Amino acid sequence: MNIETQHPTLVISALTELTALTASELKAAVRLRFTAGLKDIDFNCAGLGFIDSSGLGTLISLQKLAIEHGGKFRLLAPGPQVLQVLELTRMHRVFEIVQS
Amino acid sequence: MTSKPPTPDPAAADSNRVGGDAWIWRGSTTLQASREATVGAREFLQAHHLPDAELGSWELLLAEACNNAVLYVDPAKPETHHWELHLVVAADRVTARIIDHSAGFEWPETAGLPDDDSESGRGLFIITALTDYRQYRRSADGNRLTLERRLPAAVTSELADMRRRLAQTETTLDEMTEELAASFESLSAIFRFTAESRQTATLEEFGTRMLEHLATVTGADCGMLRIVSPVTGALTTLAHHGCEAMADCQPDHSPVPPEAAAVRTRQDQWIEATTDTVSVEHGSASIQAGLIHPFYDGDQLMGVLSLGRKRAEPMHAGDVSVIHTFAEFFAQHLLSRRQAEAAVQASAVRREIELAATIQRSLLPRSLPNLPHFSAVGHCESALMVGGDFYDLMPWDTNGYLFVIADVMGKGVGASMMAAVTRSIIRSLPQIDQSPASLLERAARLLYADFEHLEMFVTIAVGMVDTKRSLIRVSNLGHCPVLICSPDGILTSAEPEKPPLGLEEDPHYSETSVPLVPGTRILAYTDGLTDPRDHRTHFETPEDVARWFGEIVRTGASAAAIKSALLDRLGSDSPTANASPLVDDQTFLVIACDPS
Repeated sequence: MNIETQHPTLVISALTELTALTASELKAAVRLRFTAGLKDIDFNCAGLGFIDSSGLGTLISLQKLAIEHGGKFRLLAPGPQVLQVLELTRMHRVFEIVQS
Repeated sequence: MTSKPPTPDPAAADSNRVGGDAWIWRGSTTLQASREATVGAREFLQAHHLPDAELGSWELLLAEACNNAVLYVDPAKPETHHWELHLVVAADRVTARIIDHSAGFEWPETAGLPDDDSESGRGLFIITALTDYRQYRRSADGNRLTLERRLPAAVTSELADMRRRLAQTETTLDEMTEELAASFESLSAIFRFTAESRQTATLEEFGTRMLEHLATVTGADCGMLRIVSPVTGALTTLAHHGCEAMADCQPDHSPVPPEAAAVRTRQDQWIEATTDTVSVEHGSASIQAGLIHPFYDGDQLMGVLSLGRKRAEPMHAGDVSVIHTFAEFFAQHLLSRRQAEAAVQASAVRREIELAATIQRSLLPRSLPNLPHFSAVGHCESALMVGGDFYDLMPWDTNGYLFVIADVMGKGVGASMMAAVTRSIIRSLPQIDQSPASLLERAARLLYADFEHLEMFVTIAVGMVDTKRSLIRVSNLGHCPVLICSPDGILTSAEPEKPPLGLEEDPHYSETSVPLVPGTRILAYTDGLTDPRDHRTHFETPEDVARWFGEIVRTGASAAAIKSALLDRLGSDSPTANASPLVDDQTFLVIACDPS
């Protein structure tokens, strides 16, 4: 997992899976790094092979965090497996998805 | 909670029973364990060639179900901190069962999606959306969640095809295993047999032991080994095993039609219960299955190996392989034995030839006697190392000298022995008999019985150089002409006037007399000089010899010079002489009379 700041955006990348096992760790790390001056969060899905419902919940919490700071949350380049879950749970309508 | 289950499928039930398509995971109630179970389940399904979309669905729904199994557990009850995941892949569906010991929960009648901003509550919706059948039962001894998902039609078909291929592969593996086992058995049997074969004295014993081994390895009840006789060329029985009670496997009988067919077609012949070829020939057939295998050395038939069974169970490929291997092994052994026998025989023949050659060499004077006013030289070259030729020269009382040249008809030790006997008799008689004819008459009477018994005879010419009366007297019994030539070239040929020695019991012989003048040369020779031989010059006829001799005598050549010239004429010293064996012995004696 990699988290870097590109003002005013926090960019999360290099996650291979986002599940109940890893969700708490990700949320804690983002809260720690989402400092003053930041408002947007980009979640780069490249390399993300699997996400479950707990992972979806984490994405929703990150979106809430960005909105609270007047920013926006984006999913970048989700793969087929991730898109399947998003579409199954209708969350593709909720997140801003950027394919490229 | 239940939903309508899909129609049971017998194929699915079968696959569950045969095993190999089921997978079980057991572990502790941690999210780490849940994730490991999910990943393991995906790998199991991937090994069953489910497409990626199916794998993704199963990974997701199992992640949700497994997380439920570990999240609802009571931390205060460690005895409940374990759970299981079972997976079964059938022909048209995959079934999962999760057994946990948590407090469990109420499965809702309908599992809908929560609000978009809700961070939880989608797990049951995902499970419901991705399965065709669900059943959740809470109980004190464990909660059981059963989930089924049908496979797409294409996957079902592909799986069925894969099962068929798997079955074929298993069959092939079974056959290969049997083949390997047979090969191993074959090798083991051959090793045992090889070790024993060193102790077998005869080929018959060797063949019998081989049949015993083969019967054990192939489960045959009887066996027969016939080989081609090197003498008659016919198939003859060398060994048999278990034939006593088999009406159609009789060693004393001629080869049966299937054996003849195997030889004629050069191919294995199979005996099967439905084939009555054997029973027609010999009445009550007791062989129900078997194989008849002809074996060869190159194109040359060496024999036929037959194995039979009382039961109607055909020989398997492994049995056939063993029989072929043993036949090949036996053929090599047979060749090896025959070569060894031929070598021994050749060695014996060589020893006989060497012995005969030794005898023949002993017949020839080591050096001709040094006689006053005479010089003499001799030569003897044997065909094939040995023959019955000899010459001799010895003083004759005080009257002069006696020379002998002879050729025993025949070769080998017998001819050499008779030559030795003849020479000894002749040597013992000059002191008694005063003429060559009377000497030979006495010798004939002494030797007749032996020669008749051995069906042999000897051509011989005996000459006396009578210095007192200045005469050369020759008696010739069936031998080549003895040539006597005066210095001025007047040639007298003492022709054979009587049959060879040994053909008449009490003969009367005549003589040829020639005046002895200084410078006379005598040439006595055997018919080897006029027999043809490859690459070596020779005389065509006795007249050629006489003409050549007359010419060289006129040159005043000494005995040694005549010998040298004659050897040159015969090509004995040519580089190719050794490579051109003589057809017959070549022997000659040259005597020069040069009184001072």
